[in-house]
Amino acid sequence: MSESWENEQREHALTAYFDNELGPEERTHVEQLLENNPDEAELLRRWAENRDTIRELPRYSLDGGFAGRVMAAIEKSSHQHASNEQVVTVTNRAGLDSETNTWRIGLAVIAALAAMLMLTLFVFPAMHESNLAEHQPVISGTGEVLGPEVSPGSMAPNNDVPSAKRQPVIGSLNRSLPGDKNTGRPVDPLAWNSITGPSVEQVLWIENKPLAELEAILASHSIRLVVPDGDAQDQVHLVPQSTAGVEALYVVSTVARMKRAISEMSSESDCLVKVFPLPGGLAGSAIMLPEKAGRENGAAQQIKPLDLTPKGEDSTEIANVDKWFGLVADDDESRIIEFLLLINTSQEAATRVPADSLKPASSDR
Amino acid sequence: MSWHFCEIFAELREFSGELIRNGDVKTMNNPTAFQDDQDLIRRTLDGDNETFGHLICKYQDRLYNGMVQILRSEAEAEDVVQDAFVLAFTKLSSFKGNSAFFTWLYRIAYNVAITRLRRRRATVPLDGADENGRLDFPDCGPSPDDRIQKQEQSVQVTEALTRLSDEHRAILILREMEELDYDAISEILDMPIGTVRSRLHRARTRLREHLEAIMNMNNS
Repeated sequence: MSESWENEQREHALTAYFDNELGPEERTHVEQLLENNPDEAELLRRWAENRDTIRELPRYSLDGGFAGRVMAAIEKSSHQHASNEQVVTVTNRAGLDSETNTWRIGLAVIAALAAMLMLTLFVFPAMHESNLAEHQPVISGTGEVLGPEVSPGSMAPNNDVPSAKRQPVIGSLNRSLPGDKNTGRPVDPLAWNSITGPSVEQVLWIENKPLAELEAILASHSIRLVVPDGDAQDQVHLVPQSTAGVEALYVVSTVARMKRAISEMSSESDCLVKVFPLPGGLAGSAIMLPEKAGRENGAAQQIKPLDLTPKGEDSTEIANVDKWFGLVADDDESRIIEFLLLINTSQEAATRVPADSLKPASSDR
Repeated sequence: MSWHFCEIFAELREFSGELIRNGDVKTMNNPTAFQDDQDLIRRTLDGDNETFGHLICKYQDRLYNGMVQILRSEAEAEDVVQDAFVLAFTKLSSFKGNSAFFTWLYRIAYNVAITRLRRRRATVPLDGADENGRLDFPDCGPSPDDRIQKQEQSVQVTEALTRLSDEHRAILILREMEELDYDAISEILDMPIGTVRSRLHRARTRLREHLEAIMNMNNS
């Protein structure tokens, strides 16, 4: 047994003894050693002195707003992560589509033949009577169209469309969205599979606010983004809206939460929030490509990118959120309300608008 | 958005007995319901992100204090603690509960801090220190003589800690200041317990050597 090894074991034993990490038997052994070695006993006394001094060093603490800053950073980080996931998901689905394309074509032909037979025999007569095509909404979430287009006016508030036909499949685009404050449940497609409120009631035009920041604000107020149900057909509409410099966010929340979120947006110096009347009163209706409108549903009205620019008197800035909500909604702040937010994401718009110059002196609606 | 978890938490802690008796506090705001980290973690994983705010409030100062000592910079320590909490949130589902949450969190923070330390090997003065690197200490003693002696010891130990290598300083902070046991230190530093023992011994020895050098310099 070498001397260095013995020294090392001795040091280990002393350290563990000092830190109270020895069993009773080993502890007794070290105590006997210390009785016969005053130098080592003195060493431990000095260690103890240093330890006590270290424990008495001033403690540092963070300010009261630290937790808030961390939560904001978490939301931002989660949001970016979720956005990336969304892109990846779409990409992967496209990959899968190409791999299984041959199989799909074959199955589709068989299914189409069967469906045609069934439709001819049973369904077509009933459809002519009820004109179901008018009852299926288009609802956007981050530039994606959820379902087949509708004709003008069919999504107007308080219309008589049966709710079951208006309800899109929804889920959380942004996984950082906090859970429902009432139920404590997470916001995800399994937790929420239908909208309980009416259709879109208000359309807002938002300028000078990056999409990511806007989504972060919505997320911080527990406002849900409605997203497609994954039907590949819906993806067709994603690109045209993005390239037009307009993103559409379809959101569902309570009056109270929307009020707080819009108030926060409005309070930021550069951000401009306006009430935006869609041409022809198409609140909640289709935003779609011309060829898509012509091919799939002649009755649906196309909204060109040009039309999505607020024009003078047609749009009104929300200068007093409380007052505006008093005008457009009832007093029940827990009521579910659905908004379509149109966000001008074009570079041109971001640099074109000096926000202060656009704000009227007093423009409360 | 403004979060005031810490203030609410502290107030509720103070008045919890009365409030609970009166039935005015919902379960979500009841601090007694959040004593168990596992419960807080489970709620966060269930989608109640706000619950994570309680974990932040609970550990932010303790973690921050440790990081200030390791990094010798308040500003950097705050950045590290924030990064650590964000990372902990995103990786929360990987926390298995085999160790204390604070140990797991500290390990994340330590790794972030060490990455920073490796990027800058230059000495960064501790915020609040004067031109000699000395800190203002609060009153801490009963008599003026005792207080002066304590302050002198604190300054010397702080200076000796600064002179230590990052590794030696970190392990001393974990053991002496955080009072973590060998298992927790072993997990945070990702090293066997035998290495923890030997490194602690060397760190204490080096600290003692630095202290003696500082005292000799002051006396000469």
